[in-house]
Amino acid sequence: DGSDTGGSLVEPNPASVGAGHQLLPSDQAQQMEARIESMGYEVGYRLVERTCQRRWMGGDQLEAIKFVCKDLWSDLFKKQVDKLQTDHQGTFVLKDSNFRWTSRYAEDDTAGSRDLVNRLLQLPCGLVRGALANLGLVAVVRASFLDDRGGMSDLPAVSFTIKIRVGGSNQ
Amino acid sequence: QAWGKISKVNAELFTLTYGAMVMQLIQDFEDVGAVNKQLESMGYNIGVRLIDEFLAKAGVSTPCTDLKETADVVAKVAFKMFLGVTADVSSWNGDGTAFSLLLYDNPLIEFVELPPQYSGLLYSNLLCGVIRGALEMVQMKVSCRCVRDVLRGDDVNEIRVELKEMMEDVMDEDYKEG
Repeated sequence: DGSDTGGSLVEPNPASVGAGHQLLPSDQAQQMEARIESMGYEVGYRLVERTCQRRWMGGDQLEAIKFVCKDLWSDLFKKQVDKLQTDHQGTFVLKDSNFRWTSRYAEDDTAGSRDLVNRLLQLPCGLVRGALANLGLVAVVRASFLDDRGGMSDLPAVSFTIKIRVGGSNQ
Repeated sequence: QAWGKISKVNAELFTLTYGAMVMQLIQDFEDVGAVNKQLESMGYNIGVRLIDEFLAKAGVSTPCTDLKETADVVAKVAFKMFLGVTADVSSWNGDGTAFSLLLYDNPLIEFVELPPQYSGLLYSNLLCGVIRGALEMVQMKVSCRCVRDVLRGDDVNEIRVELKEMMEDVMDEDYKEG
């Protein structure tokens, strides 16, 4: 099951807590991102347990992803995922053209603001990973707000890439 | 009412995220007292910003003339607006400079139980910070502390608010005309 939480991977480091959104040295920033992600995982894992009591009917991988796109997304962000793409080999791309948590961010193509958004997006990444874990799927989730050319896209648009680990499914 | 105007977030998400954050703080600091302090100061930072949102959207047209009015607005309007519940104001002291907010229904502590080794944790201490920060922005220096906590076996959450001083509206020393 998904009881190996990401939390244990993170070394406690009081120095970086509450450092706000200044630019941090990259290893520290990475640690912080990992921590935010693991917080998201905890929340997603617990949350989906409650959501499922109301709705989840069971099913295969695709059903689980659809559940995330529809039910979980509208619970969390008041809308469904706009576009779901898959290569039918365990990779799914969820595109939300107006992601709620980034909708207030000003467009600003500087490295600092990118870091900030990246850090912010670790939480929903963790949420999705935790939710999938509790549905029996071990996955890696990455968020991206870059468009195809590598520049910033219109910011509220965010895409999440889910890679299901092969053999990670036990349903 | 003001409640209708602000955008909402899923209550379970809010509660669980707050829980995850407190857990992370406990992991980081390993000392309950330091966690309490950190929660308060995070609340303070939220409060100093939240007051803007409050003043913009609450529709409280007349400024509060005394602490009694302020207390009512905090309990009935602000708590409703940001937590979805109202608080009761009670236990005024003799000269009207301190009161208690009684929170019967605290969304932060849903699903929460304190393990015995963290019995000193003031789980909702963030709220104290928020109140302190917000009131400081409207020239009231207050101190807040949790005196009763459902998680610690009391029947209600009580936050004691004491007015320290009304701050003068003065310009910063660095401020110069032009």
